Amino acid sequence: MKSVWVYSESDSVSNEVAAAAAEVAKGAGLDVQVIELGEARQGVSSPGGKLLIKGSVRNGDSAGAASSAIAKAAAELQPAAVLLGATRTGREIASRLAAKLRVGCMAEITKVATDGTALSGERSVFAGKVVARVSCPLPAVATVKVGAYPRLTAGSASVSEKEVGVVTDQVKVLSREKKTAGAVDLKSAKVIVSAGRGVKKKEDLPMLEELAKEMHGALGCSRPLSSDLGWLPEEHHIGLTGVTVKPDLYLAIGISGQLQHVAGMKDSKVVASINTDKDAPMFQASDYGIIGDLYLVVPALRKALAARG
Amino acid sequence: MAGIDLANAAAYVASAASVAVAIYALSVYARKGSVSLSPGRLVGLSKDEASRLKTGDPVFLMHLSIALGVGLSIVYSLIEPVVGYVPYLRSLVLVFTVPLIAGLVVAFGWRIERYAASKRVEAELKSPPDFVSSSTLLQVVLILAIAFTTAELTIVWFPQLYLVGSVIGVLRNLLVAAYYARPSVNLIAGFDTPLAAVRTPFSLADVMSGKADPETIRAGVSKVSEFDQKSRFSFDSCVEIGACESACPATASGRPLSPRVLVRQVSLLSRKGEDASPFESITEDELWSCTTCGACVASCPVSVKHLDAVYDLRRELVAKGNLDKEKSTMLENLGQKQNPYGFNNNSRAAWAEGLGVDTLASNPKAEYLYWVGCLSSFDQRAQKIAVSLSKILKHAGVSFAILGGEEMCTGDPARRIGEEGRYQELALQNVEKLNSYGVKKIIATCPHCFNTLKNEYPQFGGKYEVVYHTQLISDLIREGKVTVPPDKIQNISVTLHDACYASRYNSVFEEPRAALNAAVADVREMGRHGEKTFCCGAGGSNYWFKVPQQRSIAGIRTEEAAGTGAKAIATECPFCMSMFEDTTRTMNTGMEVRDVAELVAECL
Repeated sequence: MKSVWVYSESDSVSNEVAAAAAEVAKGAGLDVQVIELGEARQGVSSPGGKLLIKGSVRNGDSAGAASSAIAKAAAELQPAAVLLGATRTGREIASRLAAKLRVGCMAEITKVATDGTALSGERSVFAGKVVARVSCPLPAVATVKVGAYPRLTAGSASVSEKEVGVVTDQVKVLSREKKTAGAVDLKSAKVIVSAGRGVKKKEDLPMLEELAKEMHGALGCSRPLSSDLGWLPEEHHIGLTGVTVKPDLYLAIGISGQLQHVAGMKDSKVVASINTDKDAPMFQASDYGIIGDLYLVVPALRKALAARG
Repeated sequence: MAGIDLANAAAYVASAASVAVAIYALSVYARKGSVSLSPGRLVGLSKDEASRLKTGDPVFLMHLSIALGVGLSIVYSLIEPVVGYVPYLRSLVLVFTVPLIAGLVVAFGWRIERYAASKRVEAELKSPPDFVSSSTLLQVVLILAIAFTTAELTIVWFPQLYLVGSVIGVLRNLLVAAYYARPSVNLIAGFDTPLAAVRTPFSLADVMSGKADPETIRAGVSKVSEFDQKSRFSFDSCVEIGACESACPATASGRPLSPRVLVRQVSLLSRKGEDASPFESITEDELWSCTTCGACVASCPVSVKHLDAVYDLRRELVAKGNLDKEKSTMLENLGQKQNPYGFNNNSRAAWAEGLGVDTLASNPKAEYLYWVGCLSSFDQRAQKIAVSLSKILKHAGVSFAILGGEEMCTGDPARRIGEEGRYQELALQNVEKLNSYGVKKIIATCPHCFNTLKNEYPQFGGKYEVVYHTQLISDLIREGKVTVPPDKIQNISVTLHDACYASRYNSVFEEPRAALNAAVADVREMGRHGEKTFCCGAGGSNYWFKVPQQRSIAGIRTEEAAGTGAKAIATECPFCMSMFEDTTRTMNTGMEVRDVAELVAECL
């Protein structure tokens, strides 16, 4: 039976792609094999089996090495499709792999499906304004949009092995270092609570930091708070001269809404603002607005969140 | 007696010879810099200096005292033998010496202060020892030249000291020949070059039509020899006066830039050889620190063009791709969205909805095109400037229209950051659009758009009559087409912050005051105003990126504005407005920020 292969260097993304693969396989008479490089990972699940590719390669290796190893195994085992997570590394592996196997490649697709002759899916183009339907004859390589599928949480899977020997890569990974502790990752946060000059003093920021935590989000701020007042480190600064973000929910608290700031968050999915000034430009850039004192609204919001549990 | 006569005669000959040496040095540098020393140029220079006299700028007055002091002492040393025979001549000379000596004494004091300040700046910039010693030498020479000239003019009062005076005069003339001939020639060459003149390193139109080979194009400068000859001559003319450094907002804010150090670095590098890279001693942050406010060039008494170095070296950084994310995102937005913020360009006219403002497409016969600019199109706060101006124009019955979604960035941010190609791309497209509508007159509310449209587009085939909104508003008030009721704004005191690109670059500073005085009862003036304005910190594309600094330029200016006791800062530029909207709040000044147009519109 032909297989759909799944690989991502990230455990959680691998589980998302596996969910996509399960849908593809279902009804097409295919089985799903989640690829492991060098060793099986505990947190990585599969709706079918796992294929452990052995050789001079490890999960998380450079795209050059990973693509060589997967290509060697695929040349022999002939999978119907290889799905990768559309992470930075995943995108690179996909293009290298497709070139090595001389098959087509689709990038960042959702609603992945197959009719047995081609792999198809949807991808959003023109900044999300248009959905393109794409398809590619099997065998095919594709990356699956991160966050498009719920993560699979199945139990253990049967593991088969494939030896590929020594794979080489021109690029050597010299070291991997974790970002310094405490660094905020606004780019990947789904929810951002952002503070502006409406916050009266630095001592009030923990209240917003708590709110961000309760909403499973990160704390950002407008330029005055980081650059001028220095209340928060620069990495919190969202705007033209700071970080550009596009979270699912952007909650602007006491931010007037200068272009400096709006240009850095205008692509957020949903924007909500709290401001005492009903004419604050921020409201123009918002989907929802509360005209009110943040010192009253934020505690009320936190209370409501706590009540919801 | 004969001995003294002989000594006096020898001193006279020596004086005359030293003057001849100085004049010879002038001619040598004039030839070297291909500068004409024609009487026409000299008359032009005198007229220019006379007009600067009116500004009462202290640095200029000191410079003039030195120049005239040297001139008078030279003339006196040459006519000395006949002075006794012409009645009143000596008294006349003595009268002239008094203000000059006063000016020289002040200049001497200022020099000592600048010396100390320059050493502090060099310590902060960690200038290497050879730079520091070279700068010290030049400043000591300048102090000596001032001291000698002061002594010489003083000695005119004491004829018995003629010999001493002659010796000092000869020494001073030799210093002039060695150190000040080149700057003098540079001044004659460059006094009338407009501040707004930016070198155009290549023509994109020529490249596209095949007239120029893209392979041979060099936008920036990677070797000292690649600087324009005129620019180099001007850098080499720096004698460490330090007027630029004391006027520079970047230096004042503790950024890693002093215009004096910048041009002197280039000058010193050329001694290492023609192939020396300017980046051997000049850092990237140094170049990004510049707001292109032009205070350095405008204040230089010998016409050094510091900005030439900034533009040419930024262009090199762009060519090499040495841009951080903020800068590259801005340029990418300009390329893809035709505005530096990345907004959908079609939504430019959102502010005009429901206001009954025509577009040129719907009303191609409109007298004026109102060029809104990107910030006033997209920034919710700055949109109120556009709304206010529209209100004023409609009130006055002025026929105008906007381009709406057809307007694009003028390209100014690209040019200032050093991306000449993208700038010209936008300029050519805009000119094509404007010409296709047959636009004759343009109003601008952004001084950067104003400057580009007025001074730069003619080179790309776009010749229009461009007025600044404050000019038009003050005209309309004067002509009675806009009448402000006598119970004008009483409740708030206002101080005007001049935008560099309106005032210093384009001499528009009386008009906004006229408009403001018509609208507001209590208008106050900051120390630095008009052509002497102090930057808000956003110019030179600094709005889009960050530079290491000890304090913000806008903060320094806000303090100065607050110092007048005014309750509002009046601006005439959306960028200045944006900067002060932030600082007035972070500094808890309680001051409002209002565009001149908003204040006038409020009275209607």
